[in-house]
Amino acid sequence: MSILSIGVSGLVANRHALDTTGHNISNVNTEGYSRQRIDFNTREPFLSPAGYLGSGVESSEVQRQYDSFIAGQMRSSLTITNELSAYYEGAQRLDELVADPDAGIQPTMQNFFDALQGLADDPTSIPARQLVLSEAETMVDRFHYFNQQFEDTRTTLNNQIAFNVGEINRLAQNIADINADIKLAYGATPNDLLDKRDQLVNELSELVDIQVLQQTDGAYNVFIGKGQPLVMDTTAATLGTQPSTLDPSHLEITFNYSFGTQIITDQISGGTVGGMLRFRSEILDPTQDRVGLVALGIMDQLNSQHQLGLDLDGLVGSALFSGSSVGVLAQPGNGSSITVDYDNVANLTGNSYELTYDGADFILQDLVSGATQTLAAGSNIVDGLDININAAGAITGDSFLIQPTRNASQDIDLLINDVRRLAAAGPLQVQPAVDGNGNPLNGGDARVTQPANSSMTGLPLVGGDIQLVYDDQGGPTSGFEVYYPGSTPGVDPFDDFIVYDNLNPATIAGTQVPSAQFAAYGGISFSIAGTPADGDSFTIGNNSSGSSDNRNALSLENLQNQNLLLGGTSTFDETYIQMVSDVGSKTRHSELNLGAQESLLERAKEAMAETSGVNLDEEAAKLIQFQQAYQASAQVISVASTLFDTLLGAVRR
Amino acid sequence: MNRVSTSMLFDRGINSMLQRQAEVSKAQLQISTGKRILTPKDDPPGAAYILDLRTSITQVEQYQNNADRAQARLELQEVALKGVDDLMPRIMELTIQGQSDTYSAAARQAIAEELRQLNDELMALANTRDSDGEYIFAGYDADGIPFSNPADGVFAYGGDMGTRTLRISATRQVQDRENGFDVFMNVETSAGGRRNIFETIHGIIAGMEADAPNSAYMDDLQLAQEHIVSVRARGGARLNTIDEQHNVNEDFIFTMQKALSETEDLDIVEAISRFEQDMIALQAAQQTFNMVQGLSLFNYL
Repeated sequence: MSILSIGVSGLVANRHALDTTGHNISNVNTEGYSRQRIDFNTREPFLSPAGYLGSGVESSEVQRQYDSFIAGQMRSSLTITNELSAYYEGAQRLDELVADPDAGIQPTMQNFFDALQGLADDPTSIPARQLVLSEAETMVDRFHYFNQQFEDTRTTLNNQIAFNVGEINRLAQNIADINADIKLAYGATPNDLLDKRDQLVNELSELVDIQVLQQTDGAYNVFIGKGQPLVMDTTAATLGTQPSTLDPSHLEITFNYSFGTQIITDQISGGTVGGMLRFRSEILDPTQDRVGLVALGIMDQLNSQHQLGLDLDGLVGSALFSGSSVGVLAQPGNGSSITVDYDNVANLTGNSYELTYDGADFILQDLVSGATQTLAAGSNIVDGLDININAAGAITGDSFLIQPTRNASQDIDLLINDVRRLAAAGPLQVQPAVDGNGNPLNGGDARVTQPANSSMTGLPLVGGDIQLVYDDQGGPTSGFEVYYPGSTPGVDPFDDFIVYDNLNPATIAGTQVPSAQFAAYGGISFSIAGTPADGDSFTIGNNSSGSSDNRNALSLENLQNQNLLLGGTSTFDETYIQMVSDVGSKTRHSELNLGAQESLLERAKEAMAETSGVNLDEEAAKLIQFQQAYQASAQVISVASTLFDTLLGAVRR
Repeated sequence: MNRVSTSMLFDRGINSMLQRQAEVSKAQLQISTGKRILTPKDDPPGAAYILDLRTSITQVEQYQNNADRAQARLELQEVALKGVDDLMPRIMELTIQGQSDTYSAAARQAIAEELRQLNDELMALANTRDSDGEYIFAGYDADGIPFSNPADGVFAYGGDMGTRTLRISATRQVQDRENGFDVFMNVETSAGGRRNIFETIHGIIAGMEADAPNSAYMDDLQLAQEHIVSVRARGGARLNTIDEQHNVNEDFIFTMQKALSETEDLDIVEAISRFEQDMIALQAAQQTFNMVQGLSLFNYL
């Protein structure tokens, strides 16, 4: 071995080291790049009579600085962070929607009920009536606006899910392609290809939770969901999207096998896609259902009450708002069928349900609480719903989606546009016996309060009035004989009897007459006070000209104060406020979680960089180090040349 | 050895600047809106409480409106009934005068003449209308004139028995008017029956005109006056109720508004000092970034 070859080996080795350093410097900002390093080894020594003489240096293989354990940690951190980020983004959108005190539904509800109070204050006032209608319209518009926001969010979400599924397919194909390249490059380690593939795997784990297994030949196998093989060696499978057969507004994610497709939406978790799916089921659907519950409650209760009154022209009130119906979506190919109606809106939970047939039973699952119960064939009264199952021909796997309040914010509409149609008055009026000029005929001082009706059965009265005639028996057998329409006091026997002992008025003052007695006549109730004389009579008749009567308006506005929703525990306002608070809590919770996960991800990135990252100062130092060694090696060659010249000179002489 | 990569150093500097900027921007938004809670996520229970308080306040403000309405109506009723009450002494006086044996038939005729006018005045008061044109003593049938005098000595009530109430609190309603039947028609007489006030006065008039005054009507007149007094007293009691509830409502609104302000409003001093701290932190982040990125071995090569 000669000094020349030793010098050359130093030149070559240090040149490689300089190249590697240069490569590091130029890739300082390349995402996913791992710092590379070259090691030096002494060359095989040469045995001379003086012993082993060194023969120079050689460079080892270029290695990338990479810790697969930390890389795995970072991948799972990326998956969780991106899931929370997508979830939070959606939550934030709804949080901002419900936040604005001016854009919220609640102020419009309040204005509507205030307008109803204004109507009660002044039932004949046309402006007061006009205000009720315009506030009702504003409230209805606001429900529609909210529903549109929910639908837009769902559409956007579907588009984003479809886009991200496309990205998953693209990344999976790229990983499979690089697997092939890496397998071809055997012999040496293709560091930059490995980096590129790890970067693609990171990008994939940002979208969805994956498992990565490295094969002995260097290829990565990537699994998704519950072990579906997304990348196997050099081939990639594809995912697809399709509208849910059960609910076409939901996009399902499918795994495409050569023999067909499998829906894997429920198995997908983590990453941007997992976060979007979780936002949809945990926030978007329940919030829309809850707002719908408020709309449905208002429709149902206001309509019922409005139809118990009389309008400005003495006509029976009609429905104020259009109704809604239970959304039922049936899986195509179901053998059985169901119909679902509202049994009692006050008992609705405001949640959606899935009903499935498992081969033996129909199982109803609450999609929010997760609680299940078994239903029988035929009619089932559950959570305010009447679920009627026609079980004939049921096939295992039959499934139905039941959305009791999903469409209500869309369906609510104001049906009345004529101010005179607002029913502020009660349908009946009581009056004591009077002569043709309105002079009193009763001898006693008994008073009967204006009757309140709980239905419109038998109203308005046809064929005459209800009459109460006092029969004084001088003791506890005294009372009012009740003559229903069509019978005449003094001619016909009385139809019913209200015990009212005038000798003992202290115990009967304010006697409330139960509505059951008048079930066939509006289920009216009223109370009697004072002392009647024998033969005193009262007439309960149609309220034909009571234009300034506000009884029904008072009942309408008082609905605001009653617990009419969620099993009689919550007012309209409270139900709405609870929804706002739920959205706020979920948003806050996900924001805090996201913050925590982001700092964990930051730490994982730092740990990664500690091993793999390029430090320019370090590279600058190495640049000097290798440059000097390169120059010194050149000097060695120059010495070799001098030695050769010396030898030549001696020979020439 | 703890290696730090160059791009990490940049990222960290950028991240900390972005984070400080977000904090500055939030503090700025809070200060400019004066609100502590910008969206429900900032404080979910607080946000729910604010909505609750807002509802309660607007609702009670509406009760105050209702109370004002009821008050105005009861005051108008009081004006009308006081007018009735003011007529009574003169009617009584004329009736007593007419009873006197010293009065001639002609003098009684004159008294009857004046009593007729007074009775008309009384009916005019019973047909009082409010500013909306509604007859205040007509029950629910407030559009039609309630009292009429279809024939001499015949007095008719065309209204109904409706008594209207308005809501002045979630649990309290107050009657805002009396029906004419209860006020003028359904009045006790000394004989035990019931008769309207106009007819009682007409009875006196008829006696005067026939030069044969009937002393029984004196007692009936007395009863009528007492009847009107008791109706006025009922109205007065309702006005007191409204007054009292008005104060309770006012206190409620005040308390709720205080609670609202405590929940909703920003502590400006705290917010501004936080804003300043955030600004300082942002400046520090910018400066350290500048210094760190200026430091490189390559500068010395």
